[in-house]
Amino acid sequence: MTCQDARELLSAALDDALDAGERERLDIHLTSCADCRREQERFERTIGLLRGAAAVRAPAGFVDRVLAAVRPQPWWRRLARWLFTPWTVKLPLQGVAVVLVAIMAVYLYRVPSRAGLTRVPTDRLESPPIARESVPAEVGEGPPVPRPEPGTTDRGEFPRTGVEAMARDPRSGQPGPPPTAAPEQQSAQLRREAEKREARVRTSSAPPSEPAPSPPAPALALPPPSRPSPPLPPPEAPAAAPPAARDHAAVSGPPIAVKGFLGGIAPARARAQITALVAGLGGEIAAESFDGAGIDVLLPRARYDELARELGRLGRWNASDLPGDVDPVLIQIRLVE
Amino acid sequence: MAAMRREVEPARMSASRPGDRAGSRAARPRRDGPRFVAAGTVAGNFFGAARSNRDGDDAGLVARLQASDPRAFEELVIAYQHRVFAVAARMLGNRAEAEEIAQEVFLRVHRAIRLFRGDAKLSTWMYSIASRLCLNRLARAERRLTREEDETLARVPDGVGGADEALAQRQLQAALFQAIAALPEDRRIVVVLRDLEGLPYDEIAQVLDLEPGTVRSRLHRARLELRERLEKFIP
Repeated sequence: MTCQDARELLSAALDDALDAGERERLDIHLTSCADCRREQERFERTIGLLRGAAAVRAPAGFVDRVLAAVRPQPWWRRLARWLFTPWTVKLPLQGVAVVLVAIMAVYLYRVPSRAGLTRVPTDRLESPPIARESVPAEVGEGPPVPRPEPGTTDRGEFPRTGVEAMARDPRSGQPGPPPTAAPEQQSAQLRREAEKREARVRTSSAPPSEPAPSPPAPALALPPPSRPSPPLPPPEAPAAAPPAARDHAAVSGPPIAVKGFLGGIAPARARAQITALVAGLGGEIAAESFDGAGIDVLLPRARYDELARELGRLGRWNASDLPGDVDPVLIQIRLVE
Repeated sequence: MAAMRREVEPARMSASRPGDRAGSRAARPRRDGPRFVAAGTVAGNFFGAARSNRDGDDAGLVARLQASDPRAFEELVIAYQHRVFAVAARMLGNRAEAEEIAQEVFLRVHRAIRLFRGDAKLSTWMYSIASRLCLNRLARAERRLTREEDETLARVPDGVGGADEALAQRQLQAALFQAIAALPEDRRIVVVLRDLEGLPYDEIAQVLDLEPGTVRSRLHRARLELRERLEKFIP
């Protein structure tokens, strides 16, 4: 055993922590190595000094303080402690809470606009063209009217739901293609104008199924403050209607001014032709029905006649009369045999 | 060769008070114990008797603690207060922090006693909590070991052997305090547990969750370092 090895064992030897083999080898080495014996002695003295260190004792009253600390405190004490939690703990927790609330608020606010993504109920498109005079009647309905769901037996009630339904689908991410026409800016502007007019006409007849968080959002979206909707708006409500409390800012649009049927042309071809036609006239496809048999077109009033002519050339075009004061006009084209 | 197996005697073998001897700790009813501490008291721990008595008591104590016997916790604190506090004081270098840590140790024991499975000794468990809390506290960044002044951590008895002796003793204690405090934490803890608390190697290995070989080598290095610092006290 070398001196180096031996010295590694000295400390343990003094603690009686060597195994028999190590012990024996060390002993043998130490008999013949005075240097290592000296090392061992020095080690011994060091340990002796250490073990002579004054014993540290707990201070007086320590036990009482510990027992007091362990005792559960009355509820009011604990409440006070919770309220005054150290800032390092409380701030992050509160920060996280605020962030979560904000995320929830944003998510819930966005849900109504997603509601506009529901497809146009097919029953709506099957109803006959409606004269404009029915619009006030539609608009005059109050909250108790439920929003029509696709597939419900709402067919006879299209007029009533006109405003809501229409407001739902235009430019709301329908399966239909977004306007791809070249004059995109024009269509966007059309849309903005339409929205402004729509906002003026629309009443505060918010449907009851509106998700609760949306009321605060409309209050922000509409410049004039919105008033809470009366359950049954008076008949003159449409005329003097305040801006809608319910806001489908993302899905607002003009009411359907003209409804027409286009027959005698294959639907696919009709759609392609109409799309091109509308784009060329500076309008846009506002919506398409789920089954592809209905197309809503938004067009400047001035171009309507031309559209009607062209549609007549494509197939059999039968439509209601163009109302007097609407611009741009929203034309509902229903493709039939 | 009998010469090799020497028992290590403490440097000063002063007369200890009667009642300080091994075995009497468990029986002592007073909470704080005698204020006068002789250097030789520490020796009592090394010769095993006190600890084996403690072990026997501890088994019963654990059972009573887990049964929520109200007096059991108080007994636990009384029995372990000095050990826990001493480890903390030696590791952290000041009494104020040591009391904080020591109290935390007992709080944790109080909370977790039901999870204690008894596969280790209660004392091992207590030491391991204490060591861990101390090492965690020391590991916090930028922490500097606060050095207390010469009064060190314990009162040095001055009635023994005259003024010169007392002075020498105080100097020695101060030197010991500084030397131990200057060790890196992982070496410091093994020295504290072995040379100040008297735990055997295997228990230290359990307390610190180390291999026995690691305990041995760390202790060796620690003592080498201390030997250097305490050179002038070693003739």
